[in-house]
Amino acid sequence: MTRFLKLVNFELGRFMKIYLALIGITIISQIAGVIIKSNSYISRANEAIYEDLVPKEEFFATEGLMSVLQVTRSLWFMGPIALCIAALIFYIFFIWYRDWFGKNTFIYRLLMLPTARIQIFLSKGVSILLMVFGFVAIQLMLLPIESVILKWIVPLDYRIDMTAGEIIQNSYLQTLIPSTFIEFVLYYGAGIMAVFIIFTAILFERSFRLKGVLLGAIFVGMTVLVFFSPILIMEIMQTYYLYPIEIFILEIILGLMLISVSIWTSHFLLKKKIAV
Amino acid sequence: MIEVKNISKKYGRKKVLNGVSFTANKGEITSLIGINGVGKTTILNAIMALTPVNSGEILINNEKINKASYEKITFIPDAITMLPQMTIAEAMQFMQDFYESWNQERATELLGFFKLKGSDKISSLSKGNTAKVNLLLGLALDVDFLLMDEPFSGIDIFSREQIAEVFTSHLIEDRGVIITTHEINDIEHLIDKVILLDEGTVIKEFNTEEVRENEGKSVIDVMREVYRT
Amino acid sequence: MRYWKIISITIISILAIGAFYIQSALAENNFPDFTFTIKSGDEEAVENLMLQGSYYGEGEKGQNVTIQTTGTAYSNNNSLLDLINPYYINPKIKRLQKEYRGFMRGKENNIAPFYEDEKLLVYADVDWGSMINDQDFTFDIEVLEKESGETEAFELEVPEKNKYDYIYVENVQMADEELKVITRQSVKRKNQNEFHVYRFDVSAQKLISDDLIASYQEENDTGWSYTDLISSSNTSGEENKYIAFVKTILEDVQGEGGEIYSEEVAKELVTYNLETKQMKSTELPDEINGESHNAVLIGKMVYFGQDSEAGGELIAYNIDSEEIDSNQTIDLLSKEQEDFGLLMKIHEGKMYVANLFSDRDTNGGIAVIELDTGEIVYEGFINVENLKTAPPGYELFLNEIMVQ
Repeated sequence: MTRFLKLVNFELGRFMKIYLALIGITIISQIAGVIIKSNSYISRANEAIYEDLVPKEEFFATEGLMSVLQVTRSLWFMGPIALCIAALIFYIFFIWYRDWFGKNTFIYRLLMLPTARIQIFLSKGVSILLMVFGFVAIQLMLLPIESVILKWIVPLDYRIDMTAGEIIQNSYLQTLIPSTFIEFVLYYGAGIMAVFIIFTAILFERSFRLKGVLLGAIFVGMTVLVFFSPILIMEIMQTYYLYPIEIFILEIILGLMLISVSIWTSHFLLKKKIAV
Repeated sequence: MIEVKNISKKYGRKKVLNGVSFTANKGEITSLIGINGVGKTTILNAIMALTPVNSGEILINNEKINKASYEKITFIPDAITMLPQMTIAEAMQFMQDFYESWNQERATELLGFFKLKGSDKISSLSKGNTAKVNLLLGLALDVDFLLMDEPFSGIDIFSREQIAEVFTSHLIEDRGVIITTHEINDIEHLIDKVILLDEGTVIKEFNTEEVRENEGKSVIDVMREVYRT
Repeated sequence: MRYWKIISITIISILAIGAFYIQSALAENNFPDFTFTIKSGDEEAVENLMLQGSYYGEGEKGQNVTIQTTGTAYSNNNSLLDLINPYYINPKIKRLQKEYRGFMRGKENNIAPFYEDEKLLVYADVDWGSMINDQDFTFDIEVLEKESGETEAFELEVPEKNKYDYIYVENVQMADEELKVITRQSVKRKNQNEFHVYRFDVSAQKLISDDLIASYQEENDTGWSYTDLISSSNTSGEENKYIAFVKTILEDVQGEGGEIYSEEVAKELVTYNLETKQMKSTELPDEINGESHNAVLIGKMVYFGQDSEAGGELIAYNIDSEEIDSNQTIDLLSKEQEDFGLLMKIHEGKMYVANLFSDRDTNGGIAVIELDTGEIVYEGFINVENLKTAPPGYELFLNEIMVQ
């Protein structure tokens, strides 16, 4: 177990510089966004109300009140999030291929560790997951800070104060941070499943190379088909035999099953088929 | 004892190994010799389960390789197995973290012997020093068997001498070593057993001492005979 | 600290994500609780009332809201959990699913193909076939005997099934082993709608008759028309004597700017006597101009709910005498919101009326009227329980009245 945690720590360390840089970009960009959007709102309000003599109510009716929500719709806010997501998606692949590429052949070392090889697979998966959670956590901590900064800049009657929860529920963040913990577990559980399935596909490629690309694609296709089979079958047959709750439970079972299949297949590939 | 039993390996249609069998004993230095591309590296990879074979079996101390085996047998490939951004000390720390058989004392000793600095980054090292670090990381493990892939290739003469020195030292002592090389000169006098390979098969297997005493031939003499015919 | 990476990421994640979800679980949702404030009448009348709509906080996205006397429930329409237990499922379907889980399996959220009395629960729908075999129309009939739990199920092909584009079951009635299924279907390539009554002998599992009761050209040279079946309340247990439709006729009119628009020119009430199989078509008096989906048929009476200048209006129309029997006005409901109008529902002998819109300045009104007597049994308002919980600019739009 300690070896596994060491492996996770090690995997995290290999991406840490870029990871911290991404966090830095997110913090700077989002806070800059709050400051810029707040100031431009205030100057628009001043111009309209004091120069063009538009009544306050009318200005609010057309422009709305200022809140963090207005910032969340801007590139300042969503841009770094998109960047982080893109970086992590890229890293899902790169976390494997970097061990094969270049002059160093770190994969030799990893495969020769006196631990079950599936731990390599799991440690890479857990690292990705932890990095995702880290981003989510940073965003959750940033939101109250951003609210405070907005309060400093925008006077009380020009703004709506919102809690982190309210901001999330009214913005795109909702898809990343669902409103209940059960959903959080389900969303990210599905995410782990997807990451593991992609990992397995990568291992197919690493084991059988060109032929493996096809096998990997077939594996991904099959898992997608199996996962959505209850819904697909019902849509094709046009009979909705199962109650939503039953479909839901069935999907959870299928998801857990696919995670097991993915881990088992990867275990087999790493043990018997992998080539440096 | 490492037993390689009738292993075959294909890359696509090309047969790289075709029924290779040999044994390597503890306390002996066994050399796999052959011109480049005859599958020497593939054999070492196969022993370490770093590449699958199509048929045949490999036993290490009568067991198929498993995770515990990696505390008993190690492989020093011809490229460094550590990340280039690590320092030598970090690489040593990594080994200590994961291997129970890591011998820190010996590692420190080797560091001094090779005149390496722990704070140096692997990526900044010369080719010779990189090879030494690679060797150090393998030699500092208290393992029964040590596999080395072309430890002398592309390295300056002084580094070569230093590495060759290792073979006569207590660092090798009673371990079993399998070494692949096509430059036999540096270590000819050290080798106990030679396995000559050609086109994926073992064409001759002999004990250097026997050949020297009975037939008065050096390893190179035998090689000449075999490869010229 | 060699393991700072794994330790710090784990701790930060657990603390931040944990704190967020603990906080959002502990915090009451930030949305206001709505209550029904009675002005006159009997509070019991709204006990089973369920209003559904959307709530908009200031600058916020809409939330689905369900208001009952027992409390206000919000649900986020993107939530996964809403998919599992959808808020929009008809309460009657919900009850049936709870009581007859096996029988209700695979049946959609549509009350029309069901008939229920004390002894029987009947389902008669037209199955459209699978995605592969489209428009393979079959009657799918299932009768559950409540006491024994036995189900009799059979399928029959729809006669002349290739003639139709779609077939909807509008109503199902059952009496003395005879099942009547009233359908609306469109004829292929003809732009024509038909209403049929199919009669089945359930014990013999046979179709007895297929009666075309009405056929409508939807479009003609001068305009177009649409026909709605008036829903009939079949909870009384008595068999309905009539089926009734409202046909709305529209004519193309050229406006001053040359643009063409449709104008309602007449409303006809079409009745079909199930016993005598006779059709009767009469023009409705001008007073009746509301949406026909707010109408309900009980025995020989058709009750129309509609907006009026005073607020809401309930008109009782007698099919036999072809006259308006009574006309009840509800003038309490907020009149300031002509744009938004009223929501109505007739259920078990009562009409429920509510304003579509509420905000801080104009509380939406609710009224309940007894159909037989025309008596207003309840009048009240939708209020925010604690005004502090609702932002000044909140808006509430209702879209459905349901009675459980």
